[in-house]
Amino acid sequence: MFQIVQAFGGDALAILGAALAAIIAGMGSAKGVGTVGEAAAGVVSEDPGKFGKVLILQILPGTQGLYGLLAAIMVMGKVGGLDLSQGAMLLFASLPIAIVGYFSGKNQGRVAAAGCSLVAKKPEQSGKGIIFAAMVETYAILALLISILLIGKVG
Amino acid sequence: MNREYDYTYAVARVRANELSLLSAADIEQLIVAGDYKTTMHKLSDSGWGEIKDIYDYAGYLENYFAKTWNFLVEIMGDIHELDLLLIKNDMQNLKAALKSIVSQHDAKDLYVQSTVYDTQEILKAVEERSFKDLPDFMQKPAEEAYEVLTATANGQLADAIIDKATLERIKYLGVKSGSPVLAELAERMCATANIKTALRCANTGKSKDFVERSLCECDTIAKHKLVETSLEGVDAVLNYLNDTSYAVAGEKFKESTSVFEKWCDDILMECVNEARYTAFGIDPIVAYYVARDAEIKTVRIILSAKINNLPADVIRERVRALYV
Repeated sequence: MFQIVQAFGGDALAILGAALAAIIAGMGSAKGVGTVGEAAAGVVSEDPGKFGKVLILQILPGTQGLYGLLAAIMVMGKVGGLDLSQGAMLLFASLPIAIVGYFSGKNQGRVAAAGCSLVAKKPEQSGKGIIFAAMVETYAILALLISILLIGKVG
Repeated sequence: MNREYDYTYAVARVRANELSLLSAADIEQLIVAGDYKTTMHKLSDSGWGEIKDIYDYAGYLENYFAKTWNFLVEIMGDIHELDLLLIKNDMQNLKAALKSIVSQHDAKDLYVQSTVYDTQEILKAVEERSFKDLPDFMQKPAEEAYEVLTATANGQLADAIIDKATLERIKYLGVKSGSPVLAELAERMCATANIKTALRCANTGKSKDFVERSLCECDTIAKHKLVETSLEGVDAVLNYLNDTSYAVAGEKFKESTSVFEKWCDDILMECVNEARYTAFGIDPIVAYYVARDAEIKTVRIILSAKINNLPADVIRERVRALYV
């Protein structure tokens, strides 16, 4: 690892940061979307008419993966002749969306799956289920914001 | 290991199906629906299934229960998590099989459909007196009950032996499940069964040996205390219950037997009520089963009362607590 860092300089650290942002936030989204998908399939198997409502809930935990991808693209835009300190700064700048994205995606999936149960029993209350799930999104947005500001500070 | 995510799909399907549970208003409509036939048709119209023989309400309700259980089998994947809810049916079939071979009467009509184990295998083991082919926990009570039946023809004692083994199995499965709701449900099933048995024994003056062989061990009621007090009489049992968390059982019993029976069922519903607000885990599935079971009991009471022309107030007094 040390030899790679020495050979490629800061670029290797920046790429590691970009990879972590995409991988870890993506894992959170995958877990979240998967959880809601199971609940949504349960609801739709009993009442196919509720597909539209549960689909919105299933989409919500997918955003963290997109935020991770966005941060990774921004970091990749900086790659090319970075020194070690700049590379390390980009690595650390990627961590907020990577870590918060994981937990936010996973927990948003949980809330959205509970929202599917709400849709199953009281379809007219589906808006409230979406709001509950959207609340979890706040922290992913805050983490993305801080990652973007930190990335912008480098170079 | 946290297994709550294992039931995400199943819980969503249960929530969707909870819409078809009968509400208090639906039950009231059934009570005032008119005669027995009209009530049966009303049930059929609300999705309880096609009526084959209008006077066979027991068969109709058994089919409905089987439909509920098949739904749980379909959504759960590994249904053995819920064995404790159904094991009483296996033991009921074991009892019927034992009595059938001793009395040499065909008990085909007494066998219950929905079971944990293959009923035909249980029947075969009993018919061949090969008790070692039964599941482990059935072997000893089956042998003991068979000996009692052949030596003394004491059907009551044989039933008590099997019932006790059923409760012990329920208790064991409840603890083994790792679910606090299933464990509590098992405990309450055992405790209420013990209370019923102790009161019945006190009323009929059963011997110490009979009471001891009938009661199971449970955490919330001391078996030896129930045995002692049941030998002294009903009041002694009720006095002892005042010192336990089942003090209200005494009041209900004094009110009437039907009120007491209703209380025994309602406290099972009480322990799953919280599952209405639980989004994950096995609890909502267990609660759905308990809710359907209570619903079927209530409908049975309504139909049986109507066929016997009992007044609506008598039915209302017996309606079980509902989940919705």
